[in-house]
Amino acid sequence: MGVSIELNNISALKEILKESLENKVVDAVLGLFWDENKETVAYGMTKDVNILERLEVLCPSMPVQGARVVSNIKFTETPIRVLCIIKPCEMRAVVELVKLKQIMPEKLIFLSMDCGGALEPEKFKEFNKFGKDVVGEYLSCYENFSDFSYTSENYRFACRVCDRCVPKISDLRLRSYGKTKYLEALSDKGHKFLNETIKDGLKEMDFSSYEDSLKKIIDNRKANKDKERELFKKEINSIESFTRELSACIRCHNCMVNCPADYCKECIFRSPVFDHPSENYELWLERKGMIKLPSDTLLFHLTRLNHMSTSCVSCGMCETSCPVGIRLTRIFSFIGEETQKIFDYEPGRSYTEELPVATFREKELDKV
Amino acid sequence: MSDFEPKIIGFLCNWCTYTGADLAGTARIQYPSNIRVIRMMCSGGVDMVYVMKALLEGADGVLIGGCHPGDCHYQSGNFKARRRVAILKKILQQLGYNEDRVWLRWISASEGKKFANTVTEMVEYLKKLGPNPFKYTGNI
Repeated sequence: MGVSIELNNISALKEILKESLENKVVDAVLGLFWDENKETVAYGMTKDVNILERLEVLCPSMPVQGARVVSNIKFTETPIRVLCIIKPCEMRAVVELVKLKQIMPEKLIFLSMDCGGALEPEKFKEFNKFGKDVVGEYLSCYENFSDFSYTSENYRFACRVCDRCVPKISDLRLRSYGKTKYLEALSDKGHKFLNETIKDGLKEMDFSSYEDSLKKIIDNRKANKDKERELFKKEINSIESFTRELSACIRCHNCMVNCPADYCKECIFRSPVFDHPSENYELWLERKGMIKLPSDTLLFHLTRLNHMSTSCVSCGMCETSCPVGIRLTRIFSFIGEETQKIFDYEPGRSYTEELPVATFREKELDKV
Repeated sequence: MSDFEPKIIGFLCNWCTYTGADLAGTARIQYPSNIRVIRMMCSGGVDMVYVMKALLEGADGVLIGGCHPGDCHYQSGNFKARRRVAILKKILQQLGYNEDRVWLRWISASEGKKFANTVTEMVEYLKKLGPNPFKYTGNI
């Protein structure tokens, strides 16, 4: 167990962040910032303590996958030290991207929180626009150790069934439930950050009663996940039902663009391979009688399943970004679970566990 | 369904199975002509997108042939192929599709007889199984 600091409320955390910027413990803070109208949030990075006022640490919105944001900034030439505030699923994706050498974590400190889930971005914006105090309600939920994400349809499906809402591997963990919050160091880097930023109040603490209360929330979501998994397996049990589910796909590639595990620059779907010559369509008409357009939608999703399902962190960004409402979280999360099971692999669990598709054992899989 | 002749796409490794198939030919071993062979430099170069594409286009079966474990010309290609096929089969199985339409077999350059037997066996199996359901669907 690492050292922790007690925080009276969430603004106390902001004070710590300000101090870390002022004392040059870190050069910048990356997180979700409000826009000027206070309608919606977007990821941003700042070194200005005044702009930090607009930062929202506990925010029920996930406009993009945070790991994607972090990997887009190549912190190689100007290695500034950045404190990244991201959700646990984004943290898991960070771990995957570190293993894929898409994120250089040396100068980055990751702060993640016990997460209450997020709304679909359009819902988040709509509620704010019409004067609903979304974040206020969200924070009071945290204070009362209650979790409405798995009961409210407004929340993202991925969040409603998320039983991995606690960061296991980040540098700092914000224990966000209850009236008093705690910021706990999970790694040496996190420990160093706390030591350099905070003068007094750091101590080892016993969180057993906190963990007990948290377990109830996680158990509820787990039960919800089991229920949804069963429904999914009953519904999508044949290639026909799978095709039906994907029939609305317009192959816009949004799910791929927003998926943190789909990092590959040489992806076949980013190439002109599927700009078929017109003879191909003629052949298809002859052989198959009809051809769905745009073509290759089924191949697209099956290929994604093959290539990234072992690294699927179940963040649900595919579904959030799908313009035609395909239930992609269920497909990728539940099928991903099965492919991960073959190799006893859990994405985002550890930095040292090798990616299943990047390695092999000489003695394994005798019956393939 | 007795006159159903399955079509098999074979992705064969240049160093082992392709040479094995060649040996079956030069030794005049008889085997069914249902297989269409694509020569790959290594079974590790068979991306599962090729296998999926073949199935979606209506191939009744896909045979991936590689060197025996430990014999890969490039040290580890066949081990990687084995993992990829394991993932593919799990996905197909989850979608209620018969994953045994995809065969991964280790056939060395000297095993012409084994190659012929494998193809014969696969044709018989696929004849029993019937045509690939993707054959006549335009939703690819």
